[in-house]
Amino acid sequence: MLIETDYDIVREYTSGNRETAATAFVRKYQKFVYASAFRYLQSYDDAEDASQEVFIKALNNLHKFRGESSIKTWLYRITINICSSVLRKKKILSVFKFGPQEDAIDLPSEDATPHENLEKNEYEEKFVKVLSKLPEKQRETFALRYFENMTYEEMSNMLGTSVGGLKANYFQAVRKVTEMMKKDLN
Amino acid sequence: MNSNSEIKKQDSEEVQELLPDYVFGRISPEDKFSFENYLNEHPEFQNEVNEVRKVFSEIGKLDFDKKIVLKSRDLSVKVNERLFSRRAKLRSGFLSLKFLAPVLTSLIIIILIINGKFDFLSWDSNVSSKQNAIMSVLDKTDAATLVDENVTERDILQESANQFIDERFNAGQNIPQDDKSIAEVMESYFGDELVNNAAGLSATGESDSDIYKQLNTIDENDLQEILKELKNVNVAS
Repeated sequence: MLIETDYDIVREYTSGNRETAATAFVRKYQKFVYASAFRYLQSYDDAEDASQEVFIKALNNLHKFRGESSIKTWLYRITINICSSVLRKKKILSVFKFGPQEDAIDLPSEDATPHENLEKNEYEEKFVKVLSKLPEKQRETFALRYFENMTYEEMSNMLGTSVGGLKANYFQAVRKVTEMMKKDLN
Repeated sequence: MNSNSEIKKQDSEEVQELLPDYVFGRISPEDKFSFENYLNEHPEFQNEVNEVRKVFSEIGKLDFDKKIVLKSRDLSVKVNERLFSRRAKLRSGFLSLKFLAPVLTSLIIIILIINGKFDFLSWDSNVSSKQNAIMSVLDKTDAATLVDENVTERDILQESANQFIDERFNAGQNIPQDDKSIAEVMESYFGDELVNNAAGLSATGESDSDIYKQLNTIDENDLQEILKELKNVNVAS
């Protein structure tokens, strides 16, 4: 039996077919949750740990899901809460740590030459840093629109911001990213 | 005039905000028409459009999607492992607790009973201490006289009287015939015995604790007799 829709997932999970439903659930939303966590935490390792926590928390509370919002919105809220908590912990820990911090952006492209990979990595690092410098609302809006291709209506439901406000945030985010990244291109 | 310029400014801002969707090709036909009209009227804005296009064409090459897909591909396996192994552990822990707890409790009770530390009849500590006291008395005294229902006070007195008669007979002394004479002689006998015993104890250097031990072996009736005799002893002499 195919488990595709959110309704199927919740029904199968609560009726006892937990493992299959959990697999379908994670596969459906893993990219979204992982990407959201990565943009928040700027580390692949932290994003993976946080994503696991998000899914475990969500699956443990799936029976409480009332369907008042979409599962995607619900998952996004859980992701942001967990990532905020991880960041807080990291900030506290960083007070007691000395020396260079771990940099997690470490995945070279298979197609590019080593030189191209190096350049790509530098550009990527720069981009991730630029994103982290954006105000939270702008960063969230940019990520959901640019990376997740969400509509303004979906984002409005998810973030509780008006469509007009989201368009303004998106424009400002794109403008700032362009401004900060164009120096590296030249 | 001011309100007109305000509206124009607001309109201009709203149209400018269409820039990202225009560059990334996610704009509706109506909005596209408005935006291109605005660009024709404001050619300086075209530069900004070009810059955005250039920067994001480079960002597009970073293959973020590919990386995210690669990095998150085995997430479902890891989540399932953590989720269901945790559940299995919790379940096994619960089951072991469910069965182990009664077994352990039973074992402890059995050990306590075997060691005599768990007495169902004397659960209350007061009752227990009283019974212990009685048992120690029984240990130190002639238990038969307290426990054996067939042995009466009369039997004990009879035994003492027989012993007294045997001793006088063996010593070649007269044996009183009437009750009054017997009572007088026995009173004298027990008095002498007590004095002799006391003298003997002090002569042999027995300690107070030894005396107490001997006193513990004396029958209750004998003890009462001794106490009566002691009242008559002139301590000063």
